[in-house]
Amino acid sequence: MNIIKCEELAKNYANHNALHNLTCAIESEKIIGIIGRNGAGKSTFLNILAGYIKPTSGSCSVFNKNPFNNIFTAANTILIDDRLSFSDYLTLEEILTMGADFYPNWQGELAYRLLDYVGLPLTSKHQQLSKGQMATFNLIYGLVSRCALTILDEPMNGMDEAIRTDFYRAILKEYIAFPRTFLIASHHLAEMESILEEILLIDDGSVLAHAPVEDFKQQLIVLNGPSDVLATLLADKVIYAQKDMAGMTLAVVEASSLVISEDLLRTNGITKSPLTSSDVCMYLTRKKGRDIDAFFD
Amino acid sequence: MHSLTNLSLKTIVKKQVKWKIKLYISSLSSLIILQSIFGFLFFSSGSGSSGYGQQNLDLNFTIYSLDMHLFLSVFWAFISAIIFTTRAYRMDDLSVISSRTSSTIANTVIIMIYSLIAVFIMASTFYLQLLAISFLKNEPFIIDNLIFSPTLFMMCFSIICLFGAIGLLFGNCFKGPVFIKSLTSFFVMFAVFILIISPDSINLKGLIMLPNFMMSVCYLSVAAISFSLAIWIANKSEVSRT
Repeated sequence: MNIIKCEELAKNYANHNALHNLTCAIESEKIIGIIGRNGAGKSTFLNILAGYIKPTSGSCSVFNKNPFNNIFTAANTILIDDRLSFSDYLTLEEILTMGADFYPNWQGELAYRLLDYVGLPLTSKHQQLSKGQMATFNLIYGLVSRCALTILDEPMNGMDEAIRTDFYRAILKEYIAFPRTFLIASHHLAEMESILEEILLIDDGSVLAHAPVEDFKQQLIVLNGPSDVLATLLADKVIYAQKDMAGMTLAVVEASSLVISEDLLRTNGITKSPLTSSDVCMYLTRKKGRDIDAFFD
Repeated sequence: MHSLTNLSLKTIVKKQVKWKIKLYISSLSSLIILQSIFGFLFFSSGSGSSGYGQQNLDLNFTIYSLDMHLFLSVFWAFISAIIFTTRAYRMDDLSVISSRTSSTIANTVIIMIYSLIAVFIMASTFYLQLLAISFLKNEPFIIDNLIFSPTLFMMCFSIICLFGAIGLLFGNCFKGPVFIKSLTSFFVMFAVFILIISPDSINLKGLIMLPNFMMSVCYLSVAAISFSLAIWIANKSEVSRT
């Protein structure tokens, strides 16, 4: 069942278009990585889903309702990002009490145990926490609220590596204990890849790819072989990246465009190797003709 | 899939009011401090005075009234309501189940409750001031209307509430959609322009001459319109996080 449906979604600001023609459908009870370069439109998309902003055109439905300023969406959605703030007058303990008062599925006991695990004193004020501690607290708040749609926008910003690793596991454990839809926007794809089921790649305000992680990784492959053979083979193919060195060429191409047997590749001295999800994202979103090496050469 | 949470707007508003009453309490303490400072500053001069002298006779009247305290409370209500719509307060609302509509309705209820408390604070400060004068100043005291009548109470409440409502509307206008921001800016500039070129064109004499009860009804009606407009604008507003 799709809990999110977006069609031709566009969001224009005075000086730029954050989203244009974004179409996607997201099924319930999945952990989905929202990936994209800086300024791709990830946060705008997540803010529309949370009902904070209104799309300029197109349609968006969350739980079959228009999310904008909708109390039903608000009751079932939580957006955790680095701008989440709490009153200066509340201690962490009071914030948890307040959360328990609002969210029907609140897990207070779990919150106290997690805060104890990360060493955050209950008497601290939210504003007094360091950047990493604040991110940790916000993530705990988001996890224990157990909303049907949990949106995490760069939730690990500022956290040290050990805590990040722990909390990827915490997200997974929470998902198993209480299956719900997690949308996680992050630049640390390699770190969180193991907990993701799908990747939604956004570039220039529209969806570039939306697939299960394994399928996503197989979109592009690396071919390595003699330059002359590869030049003939890839003559009419889209090449995402290419490096030539000592008569050998290394090229990143779309796997589906390569209709050639493994044996033939081997006979021609061409080796085929897979890419990581991060590399696939990088090559898919790289602007044509932009190469940092060429920039300095 | 687990069943979805279905909370009514009324439930959310109730919860928001419960927490906001605690969290916004500092604005009430600021009113107590303000009233105390002004009570002390105008301790001996009152809100007005008049004098009369002939040969050996020299008469000086000092009038102590609620006017100054009411003026302060009205100013406080306007500023506090605007502060409730500022970024920090709006961001705090997003950390719990809320919508712009529910937050503005909750703010409306808070302003009404705080206006009521403000009348009590105002009256208490006034009576304390009178008590201090009667003990510390060795002068005859003519008491007129010592008891706070229900109609006077209602009028004080309605005027504080009205300015709170205007503050809330004003704050929401500048956080709302662009056309509302432009309209508000135009209206403010137009009002200032009219006040400068023709100050007499705004004549509130008819309103002031009305009995207290009628005046209260007028104030409360305008406050209700302002609150409704503020809620309507909030319903159209996006979350601005800048």
